[in-house]
Amino acid sequence: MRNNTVHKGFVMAAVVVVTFVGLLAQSPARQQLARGNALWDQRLANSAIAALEAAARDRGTASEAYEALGRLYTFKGWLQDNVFPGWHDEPEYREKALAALKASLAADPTRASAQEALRVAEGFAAADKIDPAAPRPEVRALDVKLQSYQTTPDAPVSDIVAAIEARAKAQADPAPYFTGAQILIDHGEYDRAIAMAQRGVAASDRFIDENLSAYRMAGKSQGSYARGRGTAADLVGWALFLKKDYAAAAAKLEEAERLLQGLDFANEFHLGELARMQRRPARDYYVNALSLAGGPAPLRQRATEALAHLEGPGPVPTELDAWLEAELSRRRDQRKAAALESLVDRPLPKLTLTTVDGKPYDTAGLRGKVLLLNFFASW
Amino acid sequence: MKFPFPVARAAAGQAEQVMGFDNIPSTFYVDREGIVRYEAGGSESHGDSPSRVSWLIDQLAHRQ
Repeated sequence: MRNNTVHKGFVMAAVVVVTFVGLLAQSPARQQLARGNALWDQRLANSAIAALEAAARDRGTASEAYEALGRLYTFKGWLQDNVFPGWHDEPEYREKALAALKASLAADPTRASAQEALRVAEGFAAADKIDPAAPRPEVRALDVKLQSYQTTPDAPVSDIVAAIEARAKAQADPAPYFTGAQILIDHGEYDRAIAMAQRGVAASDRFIDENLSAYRMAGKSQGSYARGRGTAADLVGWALFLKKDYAAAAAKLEEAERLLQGLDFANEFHLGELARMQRRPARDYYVNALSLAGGPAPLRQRATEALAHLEGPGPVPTELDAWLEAELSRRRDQRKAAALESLVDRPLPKLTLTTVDGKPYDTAGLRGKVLLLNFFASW
Repeated sequence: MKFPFPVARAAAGQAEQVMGFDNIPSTFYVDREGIVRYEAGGSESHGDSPSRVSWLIDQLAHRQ
């Protein structure tokens, strides 16, 4: 018994010594290789890549390091979609994956694991070449044809409608209806534009329904439904505005703002134009629009010019640029902070609710009671 | 089906924007003064068990 205990103690000590000697003997390149692999085990991509690239520069570790890089790039290029929430594949890593795995085999042509990894990556690359979802040339050509009517004010309306129909027939997404509705608005064809935008809603809903599994997360498909409906509501509202039906325009443009969560340049610009026409405060809409990305340059220019000519209290014209820059920066910061904020310890915001039998429901009526508010969905 | 509590509808986008959640189901516990005191997003690992919900409501009901 005693001997056994002594023997065990010796074995343990020996292991520690061997490990220690092993660490001392490790080259800087091998340490980088071990570090890179450990970092990638933790899915810390940037640091792992830096360490593995350092290891790949040493001939003694090049083959292993390039293989590790090749596997990492293969994951990033083809396999990481939705592995963690919000992740997508990064196609720019695909060529890098193939190059790294070939470099591994150049450094050691007998390396079987690298040969296998390269075969897998080449299989993914070959599959990429068969891409049924790529925009088909005829769809691209029909898009180009439809968009050409944006700059041809004298084009016959029947030609525009035919171009919309041809593009919609080639592929079922709602884009041609929305692009077409905007072109029809620009040509003064407001009723046709409204009808086209409404067809776009049906096309958008169906397109999402048919491809629902592609969204994977309920929030994404709900966002897409809302975007399609919001875009259509904005187009209809803008057409109604141009028809001078301001009350109906307000209802549609505000519906669009709710659906697009106040994050669409064109919609905020349109609301600004409506408010200005109705001599209501419009400044906020224009500033909101300009604080958002997107929107064609001429419209952004129009929004800036509208701000300069608004009536009522506001910045003096000579200080408009500085004021606008500060205001845009403040709103972007505010939006970022709001996205990260929790409601805890803040008053319950006002929320427009409708009972199942269609009556308005105001949670303010529950003040004085403890309230459990649960949001769920039917899907 | 009749529920023993009010059931109302809200546009998904509007509810998410106003209440600041990005996951359904989401639950908010509000005290008598109308202040949100607890928030639970998504399906929690322990689920929305009646005892857990009761405990949170009890905390708010006895809050001074």
